[in-house]
Amino acid sequence: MQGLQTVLVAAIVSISAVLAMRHVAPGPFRLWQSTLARMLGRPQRSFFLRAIGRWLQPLEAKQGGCGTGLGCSSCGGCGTTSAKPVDAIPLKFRVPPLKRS
Amino acid sequence: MSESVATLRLALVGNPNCGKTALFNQLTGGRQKVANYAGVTVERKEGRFSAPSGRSFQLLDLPGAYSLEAASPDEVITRDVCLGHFPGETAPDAIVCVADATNLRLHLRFVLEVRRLGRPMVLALNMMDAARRRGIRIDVPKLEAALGIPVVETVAVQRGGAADLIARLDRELPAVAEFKSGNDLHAEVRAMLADAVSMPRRTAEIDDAIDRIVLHPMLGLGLLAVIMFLIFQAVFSWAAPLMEGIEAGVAFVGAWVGTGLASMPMLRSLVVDGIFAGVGGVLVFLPQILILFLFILALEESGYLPRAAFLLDRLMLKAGLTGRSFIPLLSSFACAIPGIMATRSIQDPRDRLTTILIAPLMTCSARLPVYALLIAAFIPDRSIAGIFNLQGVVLFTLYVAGIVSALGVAWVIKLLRRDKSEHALLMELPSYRIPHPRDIAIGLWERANIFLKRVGGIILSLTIILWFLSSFPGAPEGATEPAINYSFAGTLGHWLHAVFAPIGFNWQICIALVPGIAAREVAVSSLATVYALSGHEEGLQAIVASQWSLATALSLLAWYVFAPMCLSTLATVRRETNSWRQVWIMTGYLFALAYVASLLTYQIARAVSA
Repeated sequence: MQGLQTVLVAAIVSISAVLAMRHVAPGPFRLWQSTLARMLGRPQRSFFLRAIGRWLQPLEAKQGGCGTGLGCSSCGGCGTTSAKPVDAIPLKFRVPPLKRS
Repeated sequence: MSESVATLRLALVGNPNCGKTALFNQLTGGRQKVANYAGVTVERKEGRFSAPSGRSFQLLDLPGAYSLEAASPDEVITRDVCLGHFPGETAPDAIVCVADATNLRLHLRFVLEVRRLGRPMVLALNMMDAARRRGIRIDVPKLEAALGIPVVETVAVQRGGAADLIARLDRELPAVAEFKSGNDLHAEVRAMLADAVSMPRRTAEIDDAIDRIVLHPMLGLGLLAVIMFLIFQAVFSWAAPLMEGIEAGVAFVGAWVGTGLASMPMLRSLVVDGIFAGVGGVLVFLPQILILFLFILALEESGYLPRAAFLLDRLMLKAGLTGRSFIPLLSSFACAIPGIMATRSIQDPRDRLTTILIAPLMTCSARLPVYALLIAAFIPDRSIAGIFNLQGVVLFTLYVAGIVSALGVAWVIKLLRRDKSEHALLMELPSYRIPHPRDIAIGLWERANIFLKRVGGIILSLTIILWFLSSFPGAPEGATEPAINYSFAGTLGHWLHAVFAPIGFNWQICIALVPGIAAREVAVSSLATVYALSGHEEGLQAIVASQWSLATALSLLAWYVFAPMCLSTLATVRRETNSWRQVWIMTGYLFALAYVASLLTYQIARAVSA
């Protein structure tokens, strides 16, 4: 019973850590996920490992958190998402020259 | 034929607030946000639908634009997509130009501009139901002949209201005939309207009558204050029975599960002290969040909000903003992220940057659980003058504190910037509309879903991690204090305590601040978990009321008025400003303001109560 309890708690905490990581740092998470998927998916690996590699391979980028990739899921504006890169329009300034007296 | 060849790519374009997104939702079954004001859609959205013949369409919903000569960042997207200049995307096969049938004088000008592109297009005369009610008669065949493009009537908010449009799109669209249009598009529109449209009066009589009160410089501002005040009164008064029900339900299920897991103490602690205490502590605030959004959704649908922007324009101008910042700032009450995104409708880059920098000061819904917890614990539930609920008054004051701070920061930015030019507010005032109960119900359902997803997602994950960090390593042999004091989280809390002691935070609050950076509500679930692991059996509200001083509670409230924003907001600011510098400036000033405000609040409250 003690062993089962430890395994269950370890599994719940590990899954939570992965989910929290995916939420807080989606960019690095995707990078690690695809690196791991590539490593496991190499032709010399066993069929089982390659299958896990394929399963791990992240899908095409999805928008979340209105395109931040952070998936804040707080505004409800992320319903219909595009697989294309986000259409960011960063600010551009034209600084007026300093007036010389 | 491959799917990509068979699928026709359509772009929905038109002036702001003509019902493009409502039509998009109607056609694709999507649930994109719609509201009765300009500037709700600031991104390009994509969806698919099929006609009865089986022909499939890919539909792009684009931000509203007054002209293809783009003046604001959201209009740039529309222009670039229509012209085929949008990166990684070809021009659409056909354009569905949407026009508000009650305001053709303005909207047909843009139709003529789009027609010049020469792409196959259809004009959807939307809001035909409202046009008929106002006695507006449109001779569709005549208009079709004058424009040289197919014209169909739609009512985007009615089931089946886009059937004619789908049927028309299912047939071949004719090429746009060559038209020798002059430079004066307005004159051309006037000629078309004279020929094909009869309109009893330009504006709706009822709108004018309501506007005489709502836009009155004194009465209007008074009405706005009353509306806002009533919202916060309702948040506390109406939610109490529902909150008590949820609290009792969570406690009952937690106790039942705890009994079942009695033979596994570690797992029991995770489930009862971690998941049920932590997540249940946040779940209880669902009714308050829904009541707040009930009012926000009703105001959005009614068309009142642009009027409020108009009323506040003078005040905002003094603070270095324009009324155009009002809608983004208002969106920030739900979450700072859509608010920051909505700044794309602001044309001047400096006004846009200022609005981005102050958006996190608007009280987002994630702060509500923290406010509600502390107010319920420390402010007595009694009425003032027999009418107002004291707790509601305090909540209203906290929201006002956020707004006043935002205006103050904007004013300081105005003093610091070199370009002192001011920009007049030009804003379209939509017709008033009675909010549709179905739309409000869908909106509330969406909000509840969003909140529950957060509770079951990031809040649950972080609460479990916090339980782990608060439970391990266990207490050493012969330890006299609760085990949490020796854990990773306990150690971190004691370290941070040195920094936060001057503002009255205990080490338990210090622990809760850390996961609160990922999502603010997690601070509440973290406090519940930390206190549950410290051996407290009561509910979080009772613990807080008995363990903290009033000065500490007020200090934490002051902290959360300014509290540095969540990571998602920072990422959005980075993307929208293309600058890490702005991110650091924002984080720095918010942290400094939060610390100073808490320090003053704590020290003054302590001195007064001594």
